[in-house]
Amino acid sequence: MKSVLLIEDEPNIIEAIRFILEQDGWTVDTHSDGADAVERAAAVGPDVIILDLMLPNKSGFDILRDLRTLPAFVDLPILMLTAKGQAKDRETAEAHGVTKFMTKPFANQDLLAAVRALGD
Amino acid sequence: MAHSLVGPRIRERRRARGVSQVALAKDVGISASYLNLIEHNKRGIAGRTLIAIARELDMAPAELAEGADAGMIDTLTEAASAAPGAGAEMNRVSELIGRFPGWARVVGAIAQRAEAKDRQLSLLSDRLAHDPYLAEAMHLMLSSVTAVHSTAGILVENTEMNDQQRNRFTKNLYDESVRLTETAKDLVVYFDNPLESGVGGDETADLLHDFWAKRGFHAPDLETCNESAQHMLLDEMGDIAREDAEKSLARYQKIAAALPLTAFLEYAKRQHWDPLELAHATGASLRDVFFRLAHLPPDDGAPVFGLIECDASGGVLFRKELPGFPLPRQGGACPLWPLYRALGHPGQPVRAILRTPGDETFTAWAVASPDGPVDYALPPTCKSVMLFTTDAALTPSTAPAVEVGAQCRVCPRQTCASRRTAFLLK
Repeated sequence: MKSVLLIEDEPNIIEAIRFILEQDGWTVDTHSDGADAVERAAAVGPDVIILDLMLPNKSGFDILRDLRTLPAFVDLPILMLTAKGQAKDRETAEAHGVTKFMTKPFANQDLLAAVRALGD
Repeated sequence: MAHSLVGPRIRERRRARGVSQVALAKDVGISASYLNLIEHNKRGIAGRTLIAIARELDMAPAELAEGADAGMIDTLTEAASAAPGAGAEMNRVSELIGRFPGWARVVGAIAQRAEAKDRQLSLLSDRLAHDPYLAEAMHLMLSSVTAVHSTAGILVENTEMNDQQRNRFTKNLYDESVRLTETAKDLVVYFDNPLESGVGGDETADLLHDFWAKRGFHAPDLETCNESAQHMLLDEMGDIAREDAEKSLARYQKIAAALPLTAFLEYAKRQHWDPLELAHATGASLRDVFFRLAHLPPDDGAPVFGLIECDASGGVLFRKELPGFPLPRQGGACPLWPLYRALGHPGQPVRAILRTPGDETFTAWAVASPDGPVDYALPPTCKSVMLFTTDAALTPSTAPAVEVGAQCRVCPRQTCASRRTAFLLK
Protein backbone atom coordinates (compact mmCIF):
# COMPACT_ATOMS: atom_id res chain seq x y z
CA MET A 1 0.00 0.00 0.00
CA LYS A 2 1.47 3.36 -1.01
CA SER A 3 1.70 6.21 1.43
CA VAL A 4 1.24 9.96 1.36
CA LEU A 5 2.52 12.50 3.86
CA LEU A 6 0.16 15.45 3.92
CA ILE A 7 1.80 18.60 5.36
CA GLU A 8 -1.13 20.98 5.83
CA ASP A 9 -2.41 23.08 8.73
CA GLU A 10 -6.12 23.43 7.91
CA PRO A 11 -7.92 20.64 9.85
CA ASN A 12 -10.94 20.40 7.54
CA ILE A 13 -8.81 20.26 4.43
CA ILE A 14 -6.70 17.57 6.09
CA GLU A 15 -9.81 15.55 6.86
CA ALA A 16 -11.16 15.89 3.33
CA ILE A 17 -7.89 14.92 1.65
CA ARG A 18 -7.35 12.06 4.05
CA PHE A 19 -10.81 10.69 3.22
CA ILE A 20 -10.33 11.02 -0.54
CA LEU A 21 -6.94 9.28 -0.52
CA GLU A 22 -7.77 6.56 2.02
CA GLN A 23 -10.81 5.62 -0.04
CA ASP A 24 -8.43 5.11 -2.93
CA GLY A 25 -6.23 2.80 -0.88
CA TRP A 26 -3.49 5.18 0.24
CA THR A 27 -2.00 5.29 3.71
CA VAL A 28 -2.13 8.92 4.83
CA ASP A 29 0.11 10.49 7.47
CA THR A 30 -0.40 14.13 8.33
CA HIS A 31 1.68 16.91 9.82
CA SER A 32 0.67 20.51 10.54
CA ASP A 33 3.77 22.40 11.66
CA GLY A 34 6.37 23.70 9.25
CA ALA A 35 9.16 23.76 11.85
CA ASP A 36 9.79 20.01 12.02
CA ALA A 37 8.15 18.95 8.77
CA VAL A 38 11.44 17.79 7.23
CA GLU A 39 12.21 15.58 10.24
CA ARG A 40 8.70 14.16 10.08
CA ALA A 41 9.08 13.39 6.37
CA ALA A 42 12.38 11.63 7.07
CA ALA A 43 10.73 9.54 9.81
CA VAL A 44 7.68 8.58 7.72
CA GLY A 45 9.43 7.91 4.40
CA PRO A 46 6.34 8.45 2.21
CA ASP A 47 5.94 7.64 -1.51
CA VAL A 48 4.41 11.06 -2.18
CA ILE A 49 4.34 14.32 -0.21
CA ILE A 50 1.53 16.86 -0.44
CA LEU A 51 2.87 20.15 0.84
CA ASP A 52 0.97 23.31 1.71
CA LEU A 53 2.78 26.60 1.17
CA MET A 54 1.54 28.76 4.05
CA LEU A 55 2.43 26.78 7.17
CA PRO A 56 3.14 27.95 10.70
CA ASN A 57 6.81 28.49 11.57
CA LYS A 58 8.30 27.54 8.21
CA SER A 59 7.08 28.10 4.69
CA GLY A 60 6.41 25.31 2.21
CA PHE A 61 9.13 26.75 -0.05
CA ASP A 62 11.75 26.39 2.70
CA ILE A 63 10.57 22.86 3.51
CA LEU A 64 10.73 21.94 -0.17
CA ARG A 65 14.22 23.38 -0.53
CA ASP A 66 15.45 21.55 2.58
CA LEU A 67 13.89 18.26 1.51
CA ARG A 68 15.62 18.43 -1.86
CA THR A 69 19.01 18.61 -0.16
CA LEU A 70 18.45 15.20 1.46
CA PRO A 71 19.40 12.17 -0.68
CA ALA A 72 16.17 10.32 0.17
CA PHE A 73 14.05 13.22 -1.11
CA VAL A 74 15.97 14.36 -4.17
CA ASP A 75 13.58 12.58 -6.54
CA LEU A 76 10.56 12.02 -4.31
CA PRO A 77 7.32 13.27 -5.89
CA ILE A 78 6.20 16.41 -4.07
CA LEU A 79 2.87 18.04 -4.85
CA MET A 80 2.60 21.62 -3.67
CA LEU A 81 -0.97 22.56 -2.89
CA THR A 82 -1.55 26.23 -2.19
CA ALA A 83 -4.01 29.08 -2.17
CA LYS A 84 -1.19 31.28 -3.50
CA GLY A 85 -1.50 30.56 -7.19
CA GLN A 86 0.32 33.51 -8.70
CA ALA A 87 2.82 32.87 -11.48
CA LYS A 88 5.73 33.92 -9.26
CA ASP A 89 4.71 31.38 -6.59
CA ARG A 90 4.62 28.64 -9.19
CA GLU A 91 8.02 29.75 -10.52
CA THR A 92 9.49 29.77 -7.01
CA ALA A 93 8.11 26.30 -6.35
CA GLU A 94 9.60 25.05 -9.60
CA ALA A 95 12.94 26.65 -8.78
CA HIS A 96 12.90 24.79 -5.45
CA GLY A 97 12.25 21.48 -7.19
CA VAL A 98 8.51 20.87 -6.90
CA THR A 99 7.15 17.94 -8.94
CA LYS A 100 3.65 19.32 -9.37
CA PHE A 101 1.97 22.58 -8.37
CA MET A 102 -1.80 22.75 -7.75
CA THR A 103 -3.87 25.65 -6.52
CA LYS A 104 -6.68 25.66 -3.97
CA PRO A 105 -9.56 25.22 -4.29
CA PHE A 106 -9.18 21.95 -6.15
CA ALA A 107 -11.62 19.36 -7.49
CA ASN A 108 -11.35 16.13 -5.49
CA GLN A 109 -10.97 14.07 -8.64
CA ASP A 110 -8.15 16.29 -9.92
CA LEU A 111 -6.26 15.95 -6.67
CA LEU A 112 -6.71 12.19 -6.66
CA ALA A 113 -5.57 11.93 -10.29
CA ALA A 114 -2.49 14.01 -9.52
CA VAL A 115 -1.50 11.89 -6.52
CA ARG A 116 -2.09 8.68 -8.46
CA ALA A 117 0.10 9.95 -11.31
CA LEU A 118 2.87 10.93 -8.89
CA GLY A 119 2.67 7.59 -7.10
CA ASP A 120 3.01 5.50 -10.28
CA MET B 1 1.16 68.59 -38.79
CA ALA B 2 -0.77 71.86 -38.41
CA HIS B 3 -1.29 72.25 -42.16
CA SER B 4 -2.66 68.76 -42.49
CA LEU B 5 -5.89 70.10 -40.92
CA VAL B 6 -6.29 73.07 -43.28
CA GLY B 7 -7.65 71.15 -46.27
CA PRO B 8 -10.38 69.30 -44.39
CA ARG B 9 -11.33 72.55 -42.62
CA ILE B 10 -11.77 74.38 -45.91
CA ARG B 11 -13.85 71.57 -47.32
CA GLU B 12 -16.03 71.32 -44.22
CA ARG B 13 -16.60 75.06 -44.03
CA ARG B 14 -17.31 75.34 -47.77
CA ARG B 15 -19.87 72.52 -47.62
CA ALA B 16 -21.49 73.98 -44.51
CA ARG B 17 -22.03 77.22 -46.40
CA GLY B 18 -23.39 75.40 -49.48
CA VAL B 19 -20.65 76.66 -51.77
CA SER B 20 -19.43 74.43 -54.59
CA GLN B 21 -15.76 73.74 -55.13
CA VAL B 22 -15.99 75.40 -58.57
CA ALA B 23 -17.60 78.54 -57.16
CA LEU B 24 -15.11 78.98 -54.35
CA ALA B 25 -12.18 78.33 -56.69
CA LYS B 26 -13.50 80.97 -59.04
CA ASP B 27 -13.98 83.50 -56.23
CA VAL B 28 -10.42 83.15 -55.01
CA GLY B 29 -8.88 82.97 -58.47
CA ILE B 30 -7.59 79.40 -58.56
CA SER B 31 -8.67 76.35 -60.52
CA ALA B 32 -11.23 73.95 -59.08
CA SER B 33 -8.79 71.07 -59.48
CA TYR B 34 -6.15 72.97 -57.44
CA LEU B 35 -8.72 73.68 -54.72
CA ASN B 36 -9.57 69.99 -54.73
CA LEU B 37 -5.90 69.15 -54.13
CA ILE B 38 -5.77 71.68 -51.28
CA GLU B 39 -8.89 70.28 -49.66
CA HIS B 40 -7.35 66.79 -49.73
CA ASN B 41 -4.06 68.02 -48.27
CA LYS B 42 -2.21 67.20 -51.46
CA ARG B 43 -1.07 70.78 -51.91
CA GLY B 44 0.11 73.22 -49.30
CA ILE B 45 -1.58 76.58 -48.84
CA ALA B 46 -0.31 79.89 -47.51
CA GLY B 47 -0.13 83.60 -48.20
CA ARG B 48 -2.61 85.28 -50.52
CA THR B 49 -4.53 82.10 -51.41
CA LEU B 50 -5.07 81.27 -47.73
CA ILE B 51 -6.22 84.81 -46.97
CA ALA B 52 -8.57 84.82 -49.98
CA ILE B 53 -10.16 81.49 -49.09
CA ALA B 54 -10.54 82.54 -45.47
CA ARG B 55 -12.22 85.78 -46.56
CA GLU B 56 -14.64 83.94 -48.85
CA LEU B 57 -15.49 81.47 -46.09
CA ASP B 58 -15.88 84.27 -43.56
CA MET B 59 -13.09 83.04 -41.31
CA ALA B 60 -9.94 84.57 -39.94
CA PRO B 61 -6.88 83.23 -41.80
CA ALA B 62 -5.32 82.21 -38.47
CA GLU B 63 -8.42 80.24 -37.57
CA LEU B 64 -8.10 78.32 -40.80
CA ALA B 65 -4.36 77.80 -40.67
CA GLU B 66 -3.51 77.14 -37.07
CA GLY B 67 -2.98 73.52 -36.09
CA ALA B 68 -6.09 72.68 -34.15
CA ASP B 69 -3.86 70.51 -32.21
CA ALA B 70 -1.19 68.03 -32.55
CA GLY B 71 -2.24 66.91 -29.08
CA MET B 72 -5.63 65.81 -30.42
CA ILE B 73 -3.95 63.81 -33.16
CA ASP B 74 -1.77 62.12 -30.54
CA THR B 75 -4.81 61.43 -28.38
CA LEU B 76 -6.75 59.87 -31.23
CA THR B 77 -3.70 57.91 -32.38
CA GLU B 78 -3.34 56.51 -28.87
CA ALA B 79 -7.06 55.73 -28.78
CA ALA B 80 -6.70 53.81 -32.05
CA SER B 81 -3.68 51.91 -30.76
CA ALA B 82 -5.77 50.73 -27.79
CA ALA B 83 -8.20 49.09 -30.23
CA PRO B 84 -5.92 47.58 -32.87
CA GLY B 85 -8.63 45.39 -34.35
CA ALA B 86 -11.08 48.23 -34.92
CA GLY B 87 -9.55 49.22 -38.25
CA ALA B 88 -9.31 52.95 -37.53
CA GLU B 89 -8.29 54.84 -40.68
CA MET B 90 -5.05 56.27 -39.32
CA ASN B 91 -4.26 58.10 -42.55
CA ARG B 92 -7.44 60.13 -42.12
CA VAL B 93 -7.10 61.22 -38.50
CA SER B 94 -6.42 64.84 -39.51
CA GLU B 95 -9.49 64.79 -41.68
CA LEU B 96 -11.58 63.55 -38.77
CA ILE B 97 -10.37 66.39 -36.57
CA GLY B 98 -10.82 68.94 -39.31
CA ARG B 99 -14.24 67.87 -40.44
CA PHE B 100 -15.76 66.70 -37.17
CA PRO B 101 -13.92 68.57 -34.42
CA GLY B 102 -16.69 68.00 -31.89
CA TRP B 103 -16.80 64.26 -32.42
CA ALA B 104 -13.02 64.13 -32.38
CA ARG B 105 -13.06 65.82 -28.96
CA VAL B 106 -15.67 63.32 -27.73
CA VAL B 107 -13.58 60.33 -28.87
CA GLY B 108 -10.46 61.92 -27.39
CA ALA B 109 -12.15 62.60 -24.05
CA ILE B 110 -13.50 59.05 -23.84
CA ALA B 111 -10.09 57.62 -24.68
CA GLN B 112 -8.40 59.76 -22.04
CA ARG B 113 -10.98 58.83 -19.44
CA ALA B 114 -10.53 55.14 -20.24
CA GLU B 115 -6.77 55.49 -19.92
CA ALA B 116 -7.12 57.24 -16.55
CA LYS B 117 -9.43 54.44 -15.33
CA ASP B 118 -6.91 51.83 -16.50
CA ARG B 119 -4.18 53.56 -14.53
CA GLN B 120 -6.38 53.76 -11.45
CA LEU B 121 -7.34 50.09 -11.76
CA SER B 122 -3.72 49.06 -12.11
CA LEU B 123 -2.83 51.11 -9.02
CA LEU B 124 -5.63 49.58 -6.97
CA SER B 125 -4.76 46.10 -8.14
CA ASP B 126 -1.15 46.67 -7.13
CA ARG B 127 -2.24 47.87 -3.71
CA LEU B 128 -4.52 44.89 -3.20
CA ALA B 129 -1.65 42.58 -4.07
CA HIS B 130 0.63 44.17 -1.48
CA ASP B 131 -1.75 44.81 1.39
CA PRO B 132 -0.78 42.33 4.15
CA TYR B 133 -4.28 42.31 5.68
CA LEU B 134 -5.97 41.62 2.38
CA ALA B 135 -3.38 39.01 1.43
CA GLU B 136 -4.07 37.13 4.67
CA ALA B 137 -7.84 37.56 4.35
CA MET B 138 -7.77 36.22 0.80
CA HIS B 139 -5.67 33.28 1.90
CA LEU B 140 -8.14 32.49 4.69
CA MET B 141 -11.12 32.76 2.38
CA LEU B 142 -9.50 30.51 -0.22
CA SER B 143 -8.67 27.96 2.47
CA SER B 144 -12.27 27.97 3.66
CA VAL B 145 -13.59 27.77 0.13
CA THR B 146 -11.26 24.82 -0.50
CA ALA B 147 -12.52 23.00 2.57
CA VAL B 148 -16.16 23.74 1.67
CA HIS B 149 -15.68 22.68 -1.95
CA SER B 150 -13.85 19.47 -1.14
CA THR B 151 -16.12 18.51 1.76
CA ALA B 152 -19.28 19.20 -0.27
CA GLY B 153 -17.80 17.09 -3.08
CA ILE B 154 -17.19 14.21 -0.68
CA LEU B 155 -20.78 14.39 0.61
CA VAL B 156 -22.25 14.42 -2.89
CA GLU B 157 -19.93 11.81 -4.39
CA ASN B 158 -20.10 9.29 -1.51
CA THR B 159 -23.72 8.42 -0.95
CA GLU B 160 -22.78 5.13 0.78
CA MET B 161 -20.96 6.93 3.58
CA ASN B 162 -21.92 5.87 7.13
CA ASP B 163 -23.86 8.29 9.34
CA GLN B 164 -20.93 9.07 11.60
CA GLN B 165 -18.76 10.11 8.67
CA ARG B 166 -21.61 12.04 7.06
CA ASN B 167 -22.33 13.93 10.28
CA ARG B 168 -18.67 14.79 10.72
CA PHE B 169 -18.32 16.17 7.20
CA THR B 170 -21.60 18.05 7.50
CA LYS B 171 -20.32 19.68 10.70
CA ASN B 172 -17.03 20.56 8.97
CA LEU B 173 -19.02 22.12 6.17
CA TYR B 174 -21.00 24.21 8.65
CA ASP B 175 -17.87 25.28 10.57
CA GLU B 176 -16.14 26.38 7.38
CA SER B 177 -19.20 28.30 6.21
CA VAL B 178 -19.25 30.15 9.57
CA ARG B 179 -15.54 30.98 9.25
CA LEU B 180 -16.03 32.13 5.68
CA THR B 181 -18.91 34.35 6.75
CA GLU B 182 -16.91 35.90 9.58
CA THR B 183 -13.92 36.59 7.35
CA ALA B 184 -16.22 38.17 4.78
CA LYS B 185 -17.80 40.36 7.51
CA ASP B 186 -14.35 41.40 8.71
CA LEU B 187 -13.46 42.39 5.19
CA VAL B 188 -16.58 44.54 4.90
CA VAL B 189 -15.65 46.29 8.17
CA TYR B 190 -12.11 46.70 6.88
CA PHE B 191 -13.32 48.45 3.75
CA ASP B 192 -15.98 50.46 5.58
CA ASN B 193 -13.56 51.85 8.12
CA PRO B 194 -10.53 53.06 6.23
CA LEU B 195 -9.00 55.02 9.11
CA GLU B 196 -9.03 52.05 11.43
CA SER B 197 -8.00 49.57 8.83
CA GLY B 198 -5.40 51.42 6.88
CA VAL B 199 -7.29 51.13 3.61
CA GLY B 200 -7.55 54.44 1.87
CA GLY B 201 -4.46 56.03 3.32
CA ASP B 202 -2.47 58.86 1.96
CA GLU B 203 -2.89 59.08 -1.77
CA THR B 204 0.33 61.05 -2.22
CA ALA B 205 2.39 58.57 -0.19
CA ASP B 206 0.92 55.75 -2.28
CA LEU B 207 1.65 57.48 -5.56
CA LEU B 208 5.21 58.29 -4.48
CA HIS B 209 5.68 54.70 -3.36
CA ASP B 210 4.46 53.40 -6.72
CA PHE B 211 6.72 55.83 -8.58
CA TRP B 212 9.84 54.74 -6.69
CA ALA B 213 8.93 51.05 -6.63
CA LYS B 214 8.66 51.09 -10.42
CA ARG B 215 12.27 52.33 -10.55
CA GLY B 216 13.61 49.87 -7.98
CA PHE B 217 14.01 52.81 -5.56
CA HIS B 218 16.99 54.05 -7.51
CA ALA B 219 17.24 56.95 -10.00
CA PRO B 220 20.61 56.99 -11.83
CA ASP B 221 19.72 60.31 -13.48
CA LEU B 222 19.39 62.00 -10.10
CA GLU B 223 22.84 60.93 -8.93
CA THR B 224 24.21 64.06 -10.59
CA CYS B 225 22.64 67.52 -10.67
CA ASN B 226 20.92 66.82 -13.94
CA GLU B 227 18.12 69.36 -14.26
CA SER B 228 16.68 67.96 -17.47
CA ALA B 229 16.45 64.50 -15.86
CA GLN B 230 14.65 66.04 -12.93
CA HIS B 231 12.16 67.71 -15.29
CA MET B 232 11.58 64.46 -17.12
CA LEU B 233 10.92 62.63 -13.86
CA LEU B 234 8.60 65.41 -12.74
CA ASP B 235 6.64 64.94 -15.96
CA GLU B 236 6.38 61.22 -15.20
CA MET B 237 5.07 62.09 -11.74
CA GLY B 238 2.12 63.89 -13.28
CA ASP B 239 -0.41 62.27 -10.93
CA ILE B 240 1.45 63.49 -7.84
CA ALA B 241 0.99 67.00 -6.47
CA ARG B 242 3.83 69.08 -7.93
CA GLU B 243 5.15 70.23 -4.55
CA ASP B 244 5.29 66.67 -3.19
CA ALA B 245 6.94 65.37 -6.36
CA GLU B 246 9.57 68.11 -6.25
CA LYS B 247 10.24 67.45 -2.56
CA SER B 248 10.73 63.75 -3.18
CA LEU B 249 13.18 64.28 -6.05
CA ALA B 250 14.99 67.07 -4.19
CA ARG B 251 15.47 64.85 -1.16
CA TYR B 252 16.98 62.13 -3.33
CA GLN B 253 19.26 64.61 -5.07
CA LYS B 254 20.35 66.24 -1.83
CA ILE B 255 21.34 62.92 -0.26
CA ALA B 256 22.96 61.72 -3.50
CA ALA B 257 25.04 64.90 -3.60
CA ALA B 258 26.03 64.60 0.07
CA LEU B 259 26.84 60.89 -0.23
CA PRO B 260 28.14 60.35 -3.81
CA LEU B 261 27.43 56.80 -4.91
CA THR B 262 30.88 55.44 -5.75
CA ALA B 263 32.55 56.77 -2.62
CA PHE B 264 29.58 55.76 -0.47
CA LEU B 265 29.68 52.17 -1.77
CA GLU B 266 33.40 51.97 -1.00
CA TYR B 267 32.84 53.31 2.52
CA ALA B 268 29.89 50.99 3.01
CA LYS B 269 31.88 47.89 2.04
CA ARG B 270 34.70 48.96 4.33
CA GLN B 271 32.27 49.57 7.23
CA HIS B 272 30.48 46.25 6.53
CA TRP B 273 27.30 48.19 5.70
CA ASP B 274 26.82 49.24 9.30
CA PRO B 275 24.69 52.42 9.13
CA LEU B 276 26.05 53.95 12.33
CA GLU B 277 29.68 53.42 11.26
CA LEU B 278 28.78 54.90 7.89
CA ALA B 279 27.25 57.96 9.52
CA HIS B 280 30.42 58.44 11.57
CA ALA B 281 32.66 57.94 8.55
CA THR B 282 30.79 60.26 6.22
CA GLY B 283 29.55 62.86 8.68
CA ALA B 284 26.03 62.43 7.34
CA SER B 285 22.98 62.03 9.55
CA LEU B 286 21.90 58.48 10.30
CA ARG B 287 18.60 59.20 8.65
CA ASP B 288 20.31 60.19 5.38
CA VAL B 289 22.50 57.09 5.55
CA PHE B 290 19.37 54.93 5.98
CA PHE B 291 17.78 56.63 3.00
CA ARG B 292 20.94 56.17 0.89
CA LEU B 293 21.22 52.49 1.76
CA ALA B 294 17.60 51.93 0.75
CA HIS B 295 18.16 53.59 -2.64
CA LEU B 296 21.26 51.82 -3.93
CA PRO B 297 21.40 50.36 -7.44
CA PRO B 298 19.86 46.90 -7.27
CA ASP B 299 22.66 44.99 -9.01
CA ASP B 300 25.91 46.09 -7.42
CA GLY B 301 26.19 43.33 -4.84
CA ALA B 302 25.04 45.48 -1.93
CA PRO B 303 22.68 44.01 0.67
CA VAL B 304 19.04 44.79 -0.10
CA PHE B 305 17.52 47.16 2.43
CA GLY B 306 13.88 48.04 3.10
CA LEU B 307 12.84 51.29 4.74
CA ILE B 308 9.84 52.83 6.44
CA GLU B 309 9.47 56.40 7.62
CA CYS B 310 6.68 57.65 9.86
CA ASP B 311 5.63 60.77 11.69
CA ALA B 312 5.11 61.02 15.46
CA SER B 313 1.60 59.60 15.14
CA GLY B 314 2.89 56.53 13.31
CA GLY B 315 1.46 57.69 9.97
CA VAL B 316 3.51 56.20 7.15
CA LEU B 317 5.34 58.81 5.07
CA PHE B 318 7.53 56.58 2.93
CA ARG B 319 7.95 52.84 2.55
CA LYS B 320 10.05 50.31 0.70
CA GLU B 321 9.00 46.73 1.37
CA LEU B 322 11.11 43.59 1.31
CA PRO B 323 9.78 40.08 0.66
CA GLY B 324 8.67 38.60 3.97
CA PHE B 325 8.36 42.00 5.65
CA PRO B 326 5.14 43.66 4.49
CA LEU B 327 4.62 47.29 5.45
CA PRO B 328 1.29 49.00 6.13
CA ARG B 329 0.18 51.68 3.70
CA GLN B 330 -0.86 54.07 6.43
CA GLY B 331 -0.25 53.13 10.04
CA GLY B 332 -1.07 50.52 12.62
CA ALA B 333 1.98 48.31 12.14
CA CYS B 334 3.45 46.08 14.84
CA PRO B 335 4.12 48.29 17.91
CA LEU B 336 7.24 46.24 18.66
CA TRP B 337 9.07 47.57 15.62
CA PRO B 338 12.11 49.73 16.54
CA LEU B 339 10.51 52.40 14.30
CA TYR B 340 8.16 53.25 17.15
CA ARG B 341 10.64 52.63 19.98
CA ALA B 342 12.91 55.25 18.42
CA LEU B 343 10.17 57.88 18.70
CA GLY B 344 10.46 57.69 22.51
CA HIS B 345 14.12 58.72 22.43
CA PRO B 346 14.76 61.11 19.54
CA GLY B 347 18.38 61.04 18.41
CA GLN B 348 19.10 57.68 20.03
CA PRO B 349 19.70 54.99 17.37
CA VAL B 350 18.12 51.60 17.96
CA ARG B 351 19.22 48.28 16.52
CA ALA B 352 17.22 45.07 16.88
CA ILE B 353 16.97 41.59 15.45
CA LEU B 354 13.39 40.90 14.40
CA ARG B 355 11.83 37.50 13.86
CA THR B 356 8.64 37.44 11.78
CA PRO B 357 5.79 34.92 12.16
CA GLY B 358 7.14 33.31 8.97
CA ASP B 359 10.37 32.65 10.93
CA GLU B 360 12.44 35.02 8.85
CA THR B 361 15.08 37.07 10.62
CA PHE B 362 15.62 40.74 9.84
CA THR B 363 18.10 43.19 11.27
CA ALA B 364 16.58 46.61 11.78
CA TRP B 365 18.00 50.00 12.69
CA ALA B 366 15.86 52.99 13.59
CA VAL B 367 16.30 56.57 14.60
CA ALA B 368 13.89 59.42 15.26
CA SER B 369 14.93 62.98 14.72
CA PRO B 370 13.39 66.46 14.71
CA ASP B 371 12.30 67.57 11.28
CA GLY B 372 11.17 71.00 10.18
CA PRO B 373 11.32 74.46 11.75
CA VAL B 374 11.71 74.91 15.51
CA ASP B 375 9.71 77.26 17.66
CA TYR B 376 9.89 78.36 21.32
CA ALA B 377 6.24 77.56 21.81
CA LEU B 378 6.05 74.16 20.13
CA PRO B 379 7.94 70.89 20.39
CA PRO B 380 9.75 69.98 17.16
CA THR B 381 8.06 67.82 14.58
CA CYS B 382 9.63 64.40 14.86
CA LYS B 383 10.00 61.67 12.24
CA SER B 384 11.24 58.15 12.70
CA VAL B 385 12.95 56.00 10.07
CA MET B 386 13.64 52.28 10.18
CA LEU B 387 16.03 50.48 7.86
CA PHE B 388 15.92 46.69 7.65
CA THR B 389 17.50 43.78 5.81
CA THR B 390 17.56 39.99 5.83
CA ASP B 391 21.29 39.91 5.07
CA ALA B 392 22.66 37.43 7.59
CA ALA B 393 26.13 38.97 7.45
CA LEU B 394 24.75 42.12 9.10
CA THR B 395 23.01 40.28 11.93
CA PRO B 396 24.84 40.35 15.27
CA SER B 397 25.12 36.71 16.29
CA THR B 398 24.67 37.30 20.02
CA ALA B 399 21.64 39.58 20.13
CA PRO B 400 18.31 37.94 21.00
CA ALA B 401 15.56 38.31 18.43
CA VAL B 402 12.34 40.22 19.08
CA GLU B 403 9.27 38.35 17.85
CA VAL B 404 7.31 40.83 15.75
CA GLY B 405 4.54 40.78 13.18
CA ALA B 406 3.23 43.04 10.44
CA GLN B 407 -0.12 44.15 11.86
CA CYS B 408 -2.11 42.62 14.75
CA ARG B 409 -4.92 41.56 12.40
CA VAL B 410 -2.58 39.30 10.45
CA CYS B 411 -0.23 38.31 13.28
CA PRO B 412 -0.70 34.83 14.71
CA ARG B 413 1.16 35.59 17.98
CA GLN B 414 -1.97 35.23 20.10
CA THR B 415 -0.32 35.82 23.48
CA CYS B 416 1.58 38.97 22.48
CA ALA B 417 1.20 41.60 25.22
CA SER B 418 1.21 44.37 22.60
CA ARG B 419 -1.76 42.98 20.69
CA ARG B 420 -4.22 45.75 19.82
CA THR B 421 -6.82 43.92 17.74
CA ALA B 422 -7.81 40.30 17.31
CA PHE B 423 -6.15 38.01 14.80
CA LEU B 424 -8.19 37.70 11.63
CA LEU B 425 -8.14 33.88 11.81
CA LYS B 426 -11.09 32.75 13.86
